[in-house]
Amino acid sequence: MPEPAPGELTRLLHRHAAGSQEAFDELVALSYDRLHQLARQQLRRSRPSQTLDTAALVHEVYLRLAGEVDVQWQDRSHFYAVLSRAMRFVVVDHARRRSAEKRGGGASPLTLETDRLGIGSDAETVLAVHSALDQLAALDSRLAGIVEARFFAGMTEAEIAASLHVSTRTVQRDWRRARAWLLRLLGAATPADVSI
Amino acid sequence: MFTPERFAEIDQLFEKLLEAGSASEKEALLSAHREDSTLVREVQRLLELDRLDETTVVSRQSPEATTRRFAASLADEPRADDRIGAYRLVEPIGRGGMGIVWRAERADGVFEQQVALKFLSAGSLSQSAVQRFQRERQILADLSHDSIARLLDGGVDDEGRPFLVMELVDGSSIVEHCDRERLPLDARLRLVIAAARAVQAAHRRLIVHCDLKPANILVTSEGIVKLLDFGIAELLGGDSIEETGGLVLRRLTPEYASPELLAGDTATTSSDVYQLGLLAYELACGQRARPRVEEPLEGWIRNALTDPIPPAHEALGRGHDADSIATRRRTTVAGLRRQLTGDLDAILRRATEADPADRYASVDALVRDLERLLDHRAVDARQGGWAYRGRKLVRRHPAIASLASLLLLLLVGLADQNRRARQARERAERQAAASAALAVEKQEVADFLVSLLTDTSFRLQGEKVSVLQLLRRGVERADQELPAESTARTEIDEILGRVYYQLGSFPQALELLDQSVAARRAYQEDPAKLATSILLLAWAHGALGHHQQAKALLHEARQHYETRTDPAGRQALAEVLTRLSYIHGMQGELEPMLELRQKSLTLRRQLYGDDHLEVAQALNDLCFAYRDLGQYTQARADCVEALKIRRAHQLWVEVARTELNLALVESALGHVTAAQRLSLIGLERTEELFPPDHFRRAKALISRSRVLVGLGAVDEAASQLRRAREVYAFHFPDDHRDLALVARLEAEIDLQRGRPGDALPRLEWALETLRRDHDENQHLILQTRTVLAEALLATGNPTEAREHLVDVERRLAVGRSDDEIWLRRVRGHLASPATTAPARSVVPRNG
Repeated sequence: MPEPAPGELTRLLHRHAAGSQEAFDELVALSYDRLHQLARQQLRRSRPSQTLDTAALVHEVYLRLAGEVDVQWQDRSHFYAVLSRAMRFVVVDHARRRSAEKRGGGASPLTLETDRLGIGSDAETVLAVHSALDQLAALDSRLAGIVEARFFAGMTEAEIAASLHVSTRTVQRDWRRARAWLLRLLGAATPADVSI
Repeated sequence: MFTPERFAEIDQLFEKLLEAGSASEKEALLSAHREDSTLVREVQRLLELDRLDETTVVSRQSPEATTRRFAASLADEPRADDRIGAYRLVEPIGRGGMGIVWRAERADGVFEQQVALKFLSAGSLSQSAVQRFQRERQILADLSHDSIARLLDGGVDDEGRPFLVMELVDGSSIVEHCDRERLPLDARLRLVIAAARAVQAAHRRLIVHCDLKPANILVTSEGIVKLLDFGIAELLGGDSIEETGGLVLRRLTPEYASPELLAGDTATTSSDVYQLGLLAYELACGQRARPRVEEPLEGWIRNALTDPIPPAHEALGRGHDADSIATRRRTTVAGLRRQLTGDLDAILRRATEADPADRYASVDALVRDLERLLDHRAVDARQGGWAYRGRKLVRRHPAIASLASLLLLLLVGLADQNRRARQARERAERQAAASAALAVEKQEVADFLVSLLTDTSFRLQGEKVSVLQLLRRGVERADQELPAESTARTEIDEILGRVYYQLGSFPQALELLDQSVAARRAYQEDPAKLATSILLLAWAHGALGHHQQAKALLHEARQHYETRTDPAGRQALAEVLTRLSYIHGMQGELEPMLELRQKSLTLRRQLYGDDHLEVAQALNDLCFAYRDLGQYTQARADCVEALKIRRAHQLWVEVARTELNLALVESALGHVTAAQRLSLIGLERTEELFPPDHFRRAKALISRSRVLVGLGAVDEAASQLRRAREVYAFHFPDDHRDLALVARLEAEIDLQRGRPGDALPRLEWALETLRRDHDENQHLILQTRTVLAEALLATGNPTEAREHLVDVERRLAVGRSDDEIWLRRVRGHLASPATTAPARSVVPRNG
């Protein structure tokens, strides 16, 4: 696992906070490695059910990375956005492999520990959510961020509220919108005749 | 699919509808857009999707169909051999108010584990309850206690049925067990105490049982008490008030429900006190405290709320089977009746008072009284504590039920014993009474103070509120309602300061205690009271690392207590000597530290006897002293004795600390396996006992890391040190002494990872911090300098490294220390060619 140079993580976070997309991508890549390794360990331990406790993973990696960041750094929000994105990639990659194995022969389904969308989280669904989420992000990136944090990273409403510096109430309202839209984009109850 | 403009349009209307309160408001919003029928249809679709329960498995084709399928699935009863999660159902073993219970086993063959799998009647789970279920399941799963059946797993199965997996307990109900074994009364009460201790452990984590009854309290064949269904009733409780009353009653057992639960209020720790009282009652006199529940339920509840519980000795005579009840307790009817009157009767009454505020303030208080009863000491219930008497008075005079007036009542009691300060007090009381008259207060305020003083967890108006929040409120109120110069204010400052101190919030404690000491000095109070306040203040200063202030205060207190001959005074003296020795220890004055601790131990052995916990504490301290002096063998002996006493007393908090200390000693003696094992046990125990951000946990993590660093397990050590740092950042100033130790350990990790460059600044900071209030001979400084020398060597600076090593060796070797490991480490470096300077001018004395 590549270790960032001392201070590198802090530097990246500052650049990301200042709005650098490049820094965000680097941070996601870096977190991805950590999450991926931990996720593999976790899945090895829980072989039969193939359950991924995304919230625990994100928290663990957050603690590890936070330990490498300057004490001065107080803002967790950027960090959690990074981790949610990275977790999403870990989950999606895993789902892709599951899905491929399934086509090649039987494979047990992947379950996320915290399914907060109410749509199940088998590999096919995860991939569908992934692409619907891209559509939602193009329409409203903030709503997409909330879905990412809840569905993929297993964050609680309170955690998301804290990381976005808004009230829990706001997150709850946005979550309802986000969830309904996502289900809509997933094609739930799409009337055949709708054309917009 | 949607253009951004179209999305915004739909989303805006959707959001407005989500916010809209009434159906007519919604209707109006929709009809305003009726010319755009696609818009209206899209929004209605979103609203439908929003209404879908999150637990519903939504297919991507049609939500209506899946809702139907979901509902149909609920009708399917589980059958033997069904696989639920990782478990296979074996046979049903019961049906409770919450659903069917199955014996089940792991289906994956990984472990041979039998469990109890409990389906929760899905109909009783609202959507929000499921969310809460997910969240709180984790809290319950972490609740680990020998007498609480563990929650192992849980979830929602493929059919959408929520289930819990619990430890399968092989035992019989506590009542059955007692009768079958024909246990006498004291043995029965000991079982109640065992159950109560488990309840108390859960209360410390803000988990309330609220359905304690014989069927939920089992005793295994080994005689171990096991509580089932901990926190489950609350887990399933509704959110809204109207839901709570009905549902709770349907789920709970009315015969054993506390009056407040019967009245539809939220469960508190006090409800558990009540239920333990009913349990003790039934075990003692062989009769249920309440008649069997009958329809209509409303009438039964009304009677239960108004009819007092008959005294146990009367209940005994009520049935026809008094003889067999007495025989099952290995006594006669007359003998049992005698046992049921007096102290036990008072305890049972106090525990089952109808008003929670009149009961024991905590399960702990109940346990202590039961223990006093068994030890034939005077019980609190008969004397009526100040809080109890105060509460009764307040209830008779609701108009004065305010924080200030409660204190006033308290102070009236105190003033009787203290004539000298009486006049000043009466003045203060008049002031307090005046402010009390201004404040129109609710009953909760009186409850608040009483609970605040005795328990660290309770709820206000049904909400979980952190104790810190309550304290902040208490301080605010005191500021507003009590004149700054009044005695009442001094008392409340001291009380609140003491609680803050116990919670580890030292800056807040210091502020309040400082005020109380200043006020007591100004009033020239009773020297004994002043000495108590001074001690508290000294502790707070000590905890914040203000050693000079603490030392001065302790010396002042010592002078007072040296003159006292009463047991309380001698006990306080022992405590002062110990605390003083701590500060000497902090400052590296090791000989006075050792001497004070030896004195304290001798005093404690005289006061308490050899097997007492106070002696264990002193032994533990001595162990530290010997360890700091590098006399590990002596340290080990004292520590082992301390551990033995503490384990015998089942004082797990202290057992954990002692295990961690012993781990460090074993590590220093080179007993690697013992160190590794003890530090792990100690850390796990600490984590069971304290919430995540408690400083005790951080200290345990540091101890564990010290052992790990010694073993070279640097990755694990590093992550634990990071967690410790987070906690310290929350509680302590940035330059706390322990953080210097953390920095040194991190530097050692850097060195082992081959990054001496990172280690250097850490070590320099650590040294600077330690030197602020430590003597140069203090072992922490010497050890830190040794590591610094190692870092200097690794960064190519042998000259400076050598200077450190030579001086450290001199200090280690001169005088006291037989700290073999560090001395060997230092000498090893000195002997290595890397440090050999051209001219060896300094020759070690003992070398």
